[in-house]
Amino acid sequence: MEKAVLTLKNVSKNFVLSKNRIIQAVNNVSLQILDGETFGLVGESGCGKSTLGRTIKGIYKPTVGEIIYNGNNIRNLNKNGKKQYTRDMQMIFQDPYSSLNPRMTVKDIIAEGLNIHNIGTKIEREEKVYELLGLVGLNREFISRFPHEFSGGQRQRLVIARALAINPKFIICDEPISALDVSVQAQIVNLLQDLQDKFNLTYLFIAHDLSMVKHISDKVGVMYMGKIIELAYKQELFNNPQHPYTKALLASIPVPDPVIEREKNQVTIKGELPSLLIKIDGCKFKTRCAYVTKKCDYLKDDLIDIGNKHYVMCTLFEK
Amino acid sequence: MNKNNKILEVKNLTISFHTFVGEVQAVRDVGFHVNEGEVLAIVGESGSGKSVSTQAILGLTPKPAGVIKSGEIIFEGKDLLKLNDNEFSKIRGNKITTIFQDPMTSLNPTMKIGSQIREIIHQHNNVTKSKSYEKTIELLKLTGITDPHIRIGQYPHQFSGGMLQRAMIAMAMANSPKVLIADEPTTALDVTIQAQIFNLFRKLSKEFNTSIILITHDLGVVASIAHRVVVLYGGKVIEQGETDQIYYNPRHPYTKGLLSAMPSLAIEGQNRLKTIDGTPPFLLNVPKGCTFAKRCEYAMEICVQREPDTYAFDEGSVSCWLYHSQAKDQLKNFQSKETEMYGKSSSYS
Amino acid sequence: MKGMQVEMEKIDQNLFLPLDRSKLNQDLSKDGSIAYWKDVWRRFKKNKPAIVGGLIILIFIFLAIFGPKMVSYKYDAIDLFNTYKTPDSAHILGTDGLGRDIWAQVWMGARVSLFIGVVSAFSQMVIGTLIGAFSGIIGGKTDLIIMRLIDILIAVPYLIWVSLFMLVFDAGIFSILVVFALTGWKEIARLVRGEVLRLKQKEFITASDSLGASLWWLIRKHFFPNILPVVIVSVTFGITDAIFTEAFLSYVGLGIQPPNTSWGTLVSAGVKQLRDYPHTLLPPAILISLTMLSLQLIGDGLRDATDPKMRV
Repeated sequence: MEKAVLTLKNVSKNFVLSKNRIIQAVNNVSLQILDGETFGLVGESGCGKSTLGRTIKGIYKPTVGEIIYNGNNIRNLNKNGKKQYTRDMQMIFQDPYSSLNPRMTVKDIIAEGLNIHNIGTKIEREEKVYELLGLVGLNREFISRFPHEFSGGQRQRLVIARALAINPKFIICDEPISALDVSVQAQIVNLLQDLQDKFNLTYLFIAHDLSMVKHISDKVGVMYMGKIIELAYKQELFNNPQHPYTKALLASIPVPDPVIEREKNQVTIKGELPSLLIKIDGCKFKTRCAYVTKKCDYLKDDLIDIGNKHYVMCTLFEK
Repeated sequence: MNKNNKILEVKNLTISFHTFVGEVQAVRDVGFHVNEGEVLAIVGESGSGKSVSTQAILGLTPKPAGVIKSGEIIFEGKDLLKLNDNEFSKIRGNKITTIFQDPMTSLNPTMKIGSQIREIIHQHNNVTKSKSYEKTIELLKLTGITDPHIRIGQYPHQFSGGMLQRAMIAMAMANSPKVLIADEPTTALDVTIQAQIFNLFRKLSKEFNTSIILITHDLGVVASIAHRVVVLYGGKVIEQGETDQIYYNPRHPYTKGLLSAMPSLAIEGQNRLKTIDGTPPFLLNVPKGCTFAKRCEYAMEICVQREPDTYAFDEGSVSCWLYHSQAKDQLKNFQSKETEMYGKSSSYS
Repeated sequence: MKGMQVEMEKIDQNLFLPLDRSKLNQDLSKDGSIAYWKDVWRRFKKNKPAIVGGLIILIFIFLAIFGPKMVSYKYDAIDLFNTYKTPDSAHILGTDGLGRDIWAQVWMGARVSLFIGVVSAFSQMVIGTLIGAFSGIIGGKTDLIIMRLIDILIAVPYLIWVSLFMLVFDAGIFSILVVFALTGWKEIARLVRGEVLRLKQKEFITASDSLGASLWWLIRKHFFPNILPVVIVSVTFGITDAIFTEAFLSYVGLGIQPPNTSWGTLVSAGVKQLRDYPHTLLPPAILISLTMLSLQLIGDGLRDATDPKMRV
C-alpha cells in the first residue's frame, strides 16, 4: 500500500486586495499525493495552480484547510519539524533568468542550501557541488562561472542542482520548462525523470502544457478558477475526460500531427475567463459551458467519485 | 489560395548584429516565399533567426547594431530593402501588416482601441469619419469581439489578453493586407484562447485571401494551421516544405529530432522523450560547416568542414549533406529510424 | 537559397564517413561572456566626459595632498607686506588680504572640502542604505509609514535643515559631518528601498528563502551585492552635494571657522573683494565648480555603465 506523502484537506488561499475585493486564488482544494508519484497540476492562467504550489511549499499560509505531510499537520510542527519540512520540500521555478543571483558563482548557487544550514565541511560541500553538476549533466569546469554565461536550459539545470543539494524528498516544479526551447524542454523533463528514479522523489508538476504533463505525470488534477474540477490517473483522464472544461481543454491543444488536426472538429470554448474578483455561485465554469443548466448554480463543492479512481466536480454527475 | 502566385519572396537575406563582443551572424543567406492565400509557418528555436528575418520584411531591423549585409525581399515587383521611408510607410500597416506577441507594447495605452484602428484606416485611405467608424465596427465583429459598439470606445487596459490580440488582428486586417506577419501571436495566451485566435486566422486566410506568415516554435500550432513550413536553425533555412511532408517525412535530422522531442497527446506510452543533445548555437563565432553538425546523430566529416548545399525536391528543399549523391549510406541510416512520435494514436474526444 | 544542385559535385568519399566526435573541441559555454564589474569598467571607459571627470578628480586629490608642500609658504603664514598680490613668480595664484599664499590655501581648503565630501557621503550611504533596505524588506505598513516620514522630511528644503542644525551645533568640521549625515540620507534610502522592492520580485530571493535562508543571509548574500551599483552611483552624487553644501555653509558663516580653511571660507572671503581683487575669488570658485562637474560626470558615467538596459 503506497503511503500518502502529502494530503491537502479543504485548502483555500485568499488574497485580500481591499475590503470588498478578495481573490480566492485557491478554493477548497483537497488531494493526495503518494510517495514517489508525480502529480500533474494543469490549468490556464489564473486557475490557482502556482498559488497552490506556493501554499504547499510554505511561501503562503493557507487561509483555511490542512496540509498534512507524512502524517503530520504542518501547522502543528515544532521548530525542528518546520525546518525539516522546509528542507524536504523544494521548489523549482519557471523563469531561469530570475531564479539565479547574477552575482553568485555556480558553486555558491548550488551549495547555498548547504551553506545556509552548515552541512558538511568546505571540502565536502565542494565535492557535493561537483557531484551535482555531474548529476544534472553540466561540466565540472562550470563551477566558477556566472549565470549570465549559461543558456536557459543550462540555468534550469543549475536550479535543479541547487534544489537537490539538501536532499529533498518532494519537489514542486512550477512551470519548469515553459520558458525553454522545445528541444531543451525534453532534456529537462528526461533529467527530472531520471532524478526521480534515482532518488525516489515525489513531484508536483505544475504546467499549462498538457502534453508534457501527460508525459511525466502519474496522476493529474485539472484546475479552473481555484478549484480542482477533475482528478484522475493520467490514462483515465486523457482517454476518458469527463468534465466539459477538461474536454474542451484537450480539444484546444493542437497536436503535432496534421492529419489528426485536419480531422478534428475545431470546436472552441466560447467566452473568456471571468474576473477572479466576481463571486460566482455554484459552478465557476457555468458561464462558458455548453452543458450548463439551472442546476449548475447549486453545484455541490465536492469531487464526485465516478469510479476507476476518477473524480469530477460537475452537476452532470450529481445524482 | 493560389499555390503558384508568390506574393512575397525573400532571397539570400543575410543580417548581422555588431555587438561589443563581435559580429553575431543572426541570419545567414535565408530564402523563402509565401504564396497567395496560404499560411506559411516559420519554425525555429531561440537564436534561429526567425524574428530577425521577418523584422527585415517590414524594415524593423534595429539600427545601428543590425546590418543587412545582402539580400532582396520582393513584394509587388519591388525590393523592399531598397525602399525609402516614405515608400515603406505606404506598405507597412497597409499591404503588409504585423502583430506581435505582446499586444500591450504595440498598442497605445492612452488611446481608445477604436481610435487606433481608425487611425490606421485613415492613414492609407481617403474616407469619411463615419465610414471608418463603420469599418471599425465591422472589423471588431469580424475578429469576434462582442459588443463592438461598446468596445470601440474602450482603452486597451479594459481588454483581456485574448481580446487585445483580437483587436490587434482587427487593426492588422483594417486595410485588407496581402500579407500578415504574426510573430508568436499566442505564446502569451492560454491554450483555449489560442484555439480561438487560430480559428480566426483560418477564417481570415480563407475569406480575404490574406497570406499569413506565422512565426512560432509550437509544432502543434503549425500542424493545425500551416500549409507550408520553413524550418530555421542557426540563422539558416535547413528545410522547407509542405506541412504533411515535414511531419510525416522530415528530411533534416533537426526537424526529425524536434518532432521526436515533443510529447504528444496523441501518443500512448512514451517513456522517455528522445532529445537532441546540446543547445542551439550562439552565432558569434560561427563554426565551419553546418551549425547543427555537433548535435546531429548522422553527421559526417564533411558536415564540419563545409556548409551543406541546398537540395530541391518537387515541393520544398533541404540543406543537408545527407542528400548528396555520395551520402547514400548515412541517408539510409537516417531514413530507417522512424520519427519517434509515431506510436499508437490514442482516442480522445 | 543557394543554387539548386542538379548535377552534384564529386567530393572525396572519405568525407562522407560518420563524424569522429573525439576530434571536435568542446565548446563549453556561450561566447562573449564577461564578468560584471569588468563590463561596468568597459562601458565606463567609453564615456569620454566621465573619464575626463575622473582624471580631474584624481589630479585634485593629488594636489590636495601635495599641493601645499609645493610652495615654501605655509598656508596660514601672514605676510602683511605682500597682501592682495596678483599671481606672479613668487605666488602662483597670488595672495589674499593677509598676504597668505592662495595656492597653499586653496589646496589646504581642498583637503577639508574633499574630506567632508567623502565622509559625509559615506555616512549618508550607510544610514540611508540601512533605513531603505529595512523599509523595503519589511514591507507592509511599516514601509508605508517610513516612506511617508521621508516624504515629509524631504518637503523641507535641505539647506534649511542644514542651516537650522548648524545654528544649534557649534560650528566646525565634526559638527558638519554629523549634521550632513543626519540630513542627507533620504535620497539614498528611497533609492535603496526601490532596488530592494525590485529584487524582492526576483525568483532567486524566493528560492533562497525556500532553502531556509534567514533574513540576514538574504541581505548579506543577495540584496547587498545587487544594490551595490545603485549605492555607488548615489555616493558619487552625495559627495557633490556635500561639497556644495559645505561651501554654502562656510560662505554664510555657519560652517568651517578660522584657522581652518575650506573652499567655502575662501569663497566667502573672496566675494567681499570681488571688485578689486577678483583673483582671490577665482581659484576656490573654479575648483568647486570643476569638482562638482567632474563628480557629476563620473556619477552619470557610472549610472549608465551599471544600467542593465543600456547594455550595448
